[in-house]
Amino acid sequence: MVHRRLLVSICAIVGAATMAAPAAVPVASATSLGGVTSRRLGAWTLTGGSTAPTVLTWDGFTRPVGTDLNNAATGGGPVWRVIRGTWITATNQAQDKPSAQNAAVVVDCGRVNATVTAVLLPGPTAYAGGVAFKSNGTNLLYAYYRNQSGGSVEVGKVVNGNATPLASSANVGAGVATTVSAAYAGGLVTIRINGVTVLTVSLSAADVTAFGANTRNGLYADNDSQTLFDDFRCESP
Amino acid sequence: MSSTRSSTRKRLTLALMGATALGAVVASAASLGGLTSSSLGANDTVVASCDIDGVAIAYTNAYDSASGRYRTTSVTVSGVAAACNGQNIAITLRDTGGASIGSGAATVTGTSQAIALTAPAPAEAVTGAAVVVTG
Repeated sequence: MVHRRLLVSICAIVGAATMAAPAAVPVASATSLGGVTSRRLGAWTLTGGSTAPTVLTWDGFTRPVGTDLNNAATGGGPVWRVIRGTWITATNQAQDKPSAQNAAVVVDCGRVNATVTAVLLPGPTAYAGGVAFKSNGTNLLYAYYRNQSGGSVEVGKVVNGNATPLASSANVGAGVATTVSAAYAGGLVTIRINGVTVLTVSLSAADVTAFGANTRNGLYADNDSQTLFDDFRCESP
Repeated sequence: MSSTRSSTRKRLTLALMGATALGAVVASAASLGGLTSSSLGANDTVVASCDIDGVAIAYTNAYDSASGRYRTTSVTVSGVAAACNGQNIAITLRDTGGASIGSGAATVTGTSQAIALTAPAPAEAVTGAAVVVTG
């Protein structure tokens, strides 16, 4: 009985102490901020890729000076194959030295429709060169750029070492460095100089038959050991 | 009997001491001198969009000769309503897993706004983007 009374007394003491604390806290009064304004906003979620081309194989030619490119692996894996000429590396670039007529070095990009691109850099003031495309390892199509007289470009084919021009375009621009690209899609060849389309060529039925299934692309020079090549890439589309 | 009473007293003494200690703690909390608070308030408003018909985006990609890959360097947001002019626009690119792979911000100055990315993103990994305009 004494025990119970004491416990009741203790609870009363504790309860009194506990109740006393909240009574000491001032009650904050909520008042209106007087209205909220907001600028008009926007948010969207969009889907879709960057549409950047897929690089199939590439080469920046960052090898020791004088490296023979024949059988050398490209960035994408496949190896270079020299068709004609002596293709070696200069200072992080490529050149055909000693040079040969209708010289070419190609790599298998594995796609029938592809775009091949290379940057030309001048050894001397005047320079010329381009890209080889749709090659079977022996014959090829080429896009050949000259930076003289306002710049010109020629599309042709080389069969058994002999070149035949198919089409050309003049006054395409003559810069210090020139990016040449040739895109092939279903018989249509599109040539771009520094990203600008300067020539389109529809191949004849015979040429489509002869070159259409070929998948090798690369560099092209013609009796020129001075012109330097850089940043080769083969991409899709 | 005497032993039982003595034991009961000890227990009660201990209980009383515990209760006193508890009371002391509560009492000290109440002795802080009280709390004060700034005035509070609440309100709401409707946040309207400055562009109700959506936007479109286009990517600018550049070839990176060192890696043999294309990289997305900027994004152009087009179809932006004039009501968004002067506000901040930000974009975040995401990959197939939804992770952020690049971002950038600019101030809207027209119906088409180019936004340079703070760091180029791998172009082949881009699967979409989130665009937000804030005041």
